[in-house]
Amino acid sequence: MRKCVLLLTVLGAVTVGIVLPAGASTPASFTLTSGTLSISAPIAGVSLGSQVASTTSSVMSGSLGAVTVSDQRGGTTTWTASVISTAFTPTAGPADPATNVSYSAGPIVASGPVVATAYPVTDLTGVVTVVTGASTGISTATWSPTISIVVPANFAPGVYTATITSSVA
Amino acid sequence: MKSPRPISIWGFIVALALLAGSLAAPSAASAVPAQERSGGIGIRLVPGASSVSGEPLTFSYVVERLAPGSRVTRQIEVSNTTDATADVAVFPAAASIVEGKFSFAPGRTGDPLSSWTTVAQSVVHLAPGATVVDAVTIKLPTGASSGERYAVVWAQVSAPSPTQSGVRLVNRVGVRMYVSVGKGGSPAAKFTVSPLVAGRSANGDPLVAANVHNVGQGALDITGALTLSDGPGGLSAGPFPFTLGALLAPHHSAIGYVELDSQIPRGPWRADLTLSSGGTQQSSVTTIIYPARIPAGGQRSIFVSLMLVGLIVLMLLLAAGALVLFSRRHHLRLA
Repeated sequence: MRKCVLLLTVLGAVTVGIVLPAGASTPASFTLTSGTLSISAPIAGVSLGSQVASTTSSVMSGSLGAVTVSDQRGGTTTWTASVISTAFTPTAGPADPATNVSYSAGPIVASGPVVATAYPVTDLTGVVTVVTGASTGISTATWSPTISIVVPANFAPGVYTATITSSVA
Repeated sequence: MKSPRPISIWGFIVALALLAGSLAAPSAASAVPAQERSGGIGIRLVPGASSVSGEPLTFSYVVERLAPGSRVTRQIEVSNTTDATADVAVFPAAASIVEGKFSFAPGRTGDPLSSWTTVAQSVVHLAPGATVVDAVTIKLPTGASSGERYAVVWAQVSAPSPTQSGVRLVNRVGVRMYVSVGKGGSPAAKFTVSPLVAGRSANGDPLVAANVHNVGQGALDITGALTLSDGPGGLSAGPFPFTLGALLAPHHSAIGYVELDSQIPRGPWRADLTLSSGGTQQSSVTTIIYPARIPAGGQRSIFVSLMLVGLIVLMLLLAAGALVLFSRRHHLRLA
């Protein structure tokens, strides 16, 4: 009798032990988080060259160095690159306003699934969009912009400096 | 006598190989794959509680629903992948939706949301290859009015001031912020989808476009799928993913595209686009036929192919005529 009871108990325990884990389910999931959105660091001091002061207006242009936007956020994302310039200010005398500054991104080299579109702009007073990117994965877009500045007639000789800010978000 | 020598030679060779391997391994481990060495300043949003909502763009943007008087802290990670130490300024600044596009304000211009936002470290000093996590806290005043607010948290670096004339360059990268102020949960997503339009992309691939209009009060992350059915020969295709790629602000609309493979036949198709955002679903069903593909070279190649066809027909007629004549002559001879 005792042996029977013991046997039944053991059998019951084993059965419960076998059945329970099969009935329990463990939810599992994984998360893919975003990578970084990055912009290349600017190269030190860009000079647009020099020319002789003139009684007629002229245009000076130069390259700002390459800009690279790397979108590692993953999935379908978009980014907008905008630029703003201050006026070109000499140590003394009138400044050349930012309305005279144009920005042209030029050809954009894309690496990875991104469609990057350039918008040439001719007035950098406010923040203007210069390149937009629509990315469907990990991608990089690089361009070497050229800026041109109209130097009005009869501007005095001097060193004209400005700050150009490129923003990507 | 013979055996110790081969073993010792092999042992020497193996030891050399191991040594070479151990010298090579650290350099291999430290070498960064080409595509990661972007040489720039990066910003990354660390997922928070609101990111668990499942909408993909909440992993890239700070998307929060906050009651007046409440606060939330999010983490951002700023990284320096250049070869030089970088002093990165981190700060919030204003943004707005202008003509349906997210626009940044210049410099450090503020707006209500940026004034409610503070960062733990406003300047971070990063060694080459280093990253740092910064905390961004949004604290709403008790009197904050309801509605959607926009801002950007920027990570900014400047080139050193030029010693000669020229342009000082400042580059910055940011994480967009979409904060909806109000009590309770997020306002219900409400949006409409226009009837579908079939067209061709610049490279001739068929595409389907739909205009999505956000008629609710919160910015929406709209995703969905396009299915084609009842096509030529009973074909069906899809589902093809449809995304807008950016949050759609309240009262704004955007056109989304699904570009398909060039093998897809013209149609007619029953196109079924189903979109969802925040638990709301909308669909648009339209019968579409893709416009004819214009072959490369356009009309000139059509003319050339017509000429070729004409020539071939002419040659066949001539050949048939020659054959008839030849057989008649032959027949007469034989006869």
